[in-house]
Amino acid sequence: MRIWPWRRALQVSVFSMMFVFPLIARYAYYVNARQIDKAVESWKGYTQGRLLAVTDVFMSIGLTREEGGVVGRRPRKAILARTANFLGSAWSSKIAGVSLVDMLAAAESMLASRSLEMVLLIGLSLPLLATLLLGRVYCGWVCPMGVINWFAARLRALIVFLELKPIAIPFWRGNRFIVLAAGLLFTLVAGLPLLGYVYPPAVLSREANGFIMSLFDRAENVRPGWMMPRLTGAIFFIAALIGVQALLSPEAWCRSFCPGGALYSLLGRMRILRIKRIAKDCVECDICDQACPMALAPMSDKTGSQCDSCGVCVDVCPTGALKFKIAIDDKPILEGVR
Amino acid sequence: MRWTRREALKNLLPLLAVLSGAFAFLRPTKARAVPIRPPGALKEDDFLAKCIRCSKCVEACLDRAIIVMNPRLEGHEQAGFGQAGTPFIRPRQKACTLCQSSAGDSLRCTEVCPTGALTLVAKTPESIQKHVAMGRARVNKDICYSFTGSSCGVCVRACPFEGRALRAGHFETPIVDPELCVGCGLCERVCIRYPQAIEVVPV
Repeated sequence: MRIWPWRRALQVSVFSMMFVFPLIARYAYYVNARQIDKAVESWKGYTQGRLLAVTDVFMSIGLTREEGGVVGRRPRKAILARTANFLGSAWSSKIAGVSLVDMLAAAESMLASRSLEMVLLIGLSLPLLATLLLGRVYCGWVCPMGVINWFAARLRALIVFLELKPIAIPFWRGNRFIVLAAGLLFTLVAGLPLLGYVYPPAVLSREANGFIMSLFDRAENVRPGWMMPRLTGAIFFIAALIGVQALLSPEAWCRSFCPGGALYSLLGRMRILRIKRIAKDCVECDICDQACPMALAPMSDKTGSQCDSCGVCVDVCPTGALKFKIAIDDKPILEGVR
Repeated sequence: MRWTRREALKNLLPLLAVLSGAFAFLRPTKARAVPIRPPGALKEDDFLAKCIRCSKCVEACLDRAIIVMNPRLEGHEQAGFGQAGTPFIRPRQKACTLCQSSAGDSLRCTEVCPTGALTLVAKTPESIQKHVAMGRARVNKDICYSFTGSSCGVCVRACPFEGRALRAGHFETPIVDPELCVGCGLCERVCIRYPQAIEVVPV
């Protein structure tokens, strides 16, 4: 079974979640104000009307249209209770009552305020456990930057196809630890969580939220339709990342600069989910080394703490010599080697 | 590892970028830069330190009173760069109703806050009085209709602590009790005078 379709599916669903959850929040606002029918009606034929109508259909699945003994009335309270299950973004979310906080966010918040909050520790527990056991799975499987990387890689493929020869600068991997240390130090000194302004999941989440909210704000104030979205300057940072990764250095951010990835690497050093090479099957063709998005070397068993368990090498291996195993080191499986 | 000059420059560039970014985002110092924060918010300095700018309170607010601060937008001029992305309330646009008409035991924004930047506030008068200090209502007696001859009293009716935080004097003149006013801004929202004769100022 191939691994990448599952990974892409999860990445794309997290990416769309960043847009869908603010939409659900906006829908809940109209339902709470008993204005949803009016909103759908007055924006008929426009994006906003369609989005609200679709959300209404999905949020009403399995609910009888009856409230307060009146048949045919929208079950407002049941819908509102349901919408409360979908809150947040890739940075911090509350899904079905389970609070999840990005570990970089938690570290920043703790350092900037120099205090420890119980509510933060509760939200932190699940991501922390996952990282301790599985390593950087957030980076490889969940982070919305995966979709951006995918897009940048396609762009790069297009540039290569046009015979334009994009260059590949090998930035030093240790840069991400410098970024993390400098960012956390400044967070501590300035008392402001600053890394959230350069950390793609946080930036993308905020921009997606602002985009959806501005879509409806503009419709309420001026007229519906696609307008100039109210994005902050941070979107230029994402645009720059796409440009750099397409032209100068593929996957540069995740390999060399991401402070979150550095933190997960540090926490996931003792992980038990690892890529293992079965030496007797390996023909040393080097395909996995060239396919690795993190530019690691699975063929020579040098994956280390930067491996985000994306499974690309497992997928591309022509002989099936690479496997996910429960193990605590990267040594190859030498059984049957002559 | 031996560094050539070129390599060292290349590797120190991101560090410099982070440092300059940090300086650019430094906290605003002007007093007027303190906006009205959602209910249960800590003091401005602690709030800015704890808040991770996740916009969950914005999504949770069913009144859409809480909005995201974006220094590039009109009406957000007070925002410093360190406050970008934080939640705040503009009572004249949309005031906090203290979740009086929604389900649940506590105020929704305080329930979802993942970092404790908004402390959990139960939906009881005691808890709200204890934890919520968004601001304080201030009456401009020069322009208030009730103080200038015609009785109005709209703000008094709108107050969730009517008769305590905001009570009516002679000819419906609004009298604010600064001890009990939590700064929800409903009085400013409903004030029929323009510009508003009663407004919430942050504490």
